[in-house]
Amino acid sequence: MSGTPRRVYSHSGDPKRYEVTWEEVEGELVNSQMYWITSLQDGIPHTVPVIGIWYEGALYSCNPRSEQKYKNLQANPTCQALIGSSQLNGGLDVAVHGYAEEMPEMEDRLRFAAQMAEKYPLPWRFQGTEEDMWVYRVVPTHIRAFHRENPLASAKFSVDRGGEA
Amino acid sequence: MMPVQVSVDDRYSADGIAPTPWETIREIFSASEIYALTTILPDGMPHTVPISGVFDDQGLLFCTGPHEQKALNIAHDSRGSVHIGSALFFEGVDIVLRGPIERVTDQIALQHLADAFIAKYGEFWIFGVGDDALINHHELPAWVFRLTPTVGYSFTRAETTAQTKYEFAQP
Repeated sequence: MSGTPRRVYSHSGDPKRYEVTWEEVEGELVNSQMYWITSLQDGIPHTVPVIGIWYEGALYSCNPRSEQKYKNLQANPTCQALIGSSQLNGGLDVAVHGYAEEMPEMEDRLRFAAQMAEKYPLPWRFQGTEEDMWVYRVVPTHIRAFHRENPLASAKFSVDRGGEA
Repeated sequence: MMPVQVSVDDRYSADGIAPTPWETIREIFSASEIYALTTILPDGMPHTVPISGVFDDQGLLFCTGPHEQKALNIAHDSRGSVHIGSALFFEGVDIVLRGPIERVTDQIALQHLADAFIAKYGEFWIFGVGDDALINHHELPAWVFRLTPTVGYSFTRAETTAQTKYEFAQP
């Protein structure tokens, strides 16, 4: 759907030894089990933990249409998906800035459901066919990353959407 | 700081689960080394950054350079949110606190924070106290802010899944 995100900013305590790369950022996005989605509720940030799948350059997730974040994202699709660690000296925090976009096609929903079943040992199974379930992806516009191990480093990546966003 | 109301959202909680007590949440939140602070960019986009901080009786204290993006955001819109969480599916707890962010310039409060940073982080964060801000190791001012929660949420996992809401008295 778009090219590989391009690093537009990089800062490192020791650039010879370490710089944040897109491959590293994407690896973390793929492997994280939890994501925090921030939407806007009347302009106030509203953050909740979600499960999801990172593939083809976007984060896919789902939730019932009764949920607050569905209402928020309908009113304003601007959002952010975050992963990270709670330790002072460890891990890579990644903030994905973008907008939420519904995936209404059954083919996409079924593919997403299959990936969820593979990644998460859930006591329930999302089939993809549930009408009430909203399946969406967070389409990134830019991505910021903070490396919090020695040497400290940060980077920003921009996604060229070829005029689609 | 104690919530005036604590409630479990049955829709997202295991059957018959009790609310997670605020004391438990306060302890976990206080001990976290890193917090994710979300403020609003002037164009309306949420902007989250990792910060160090100290949770006291009134809220989360943190500092930032006066020209950093988060300081500019707060000047534009003082509403914010701070969260911590676990990246594991079956373990840990997520905590989100929301509320207004205000600058702290009182010298006694600044000194308390400088001491609290050393108590929590050791030699990693050493600040002096200036007229209305902390002073970092480059001799530059670090403005101090406090996020005072008006509402909080905790999310526990696995068999004890509970979504608990904490409502605080308006400051």
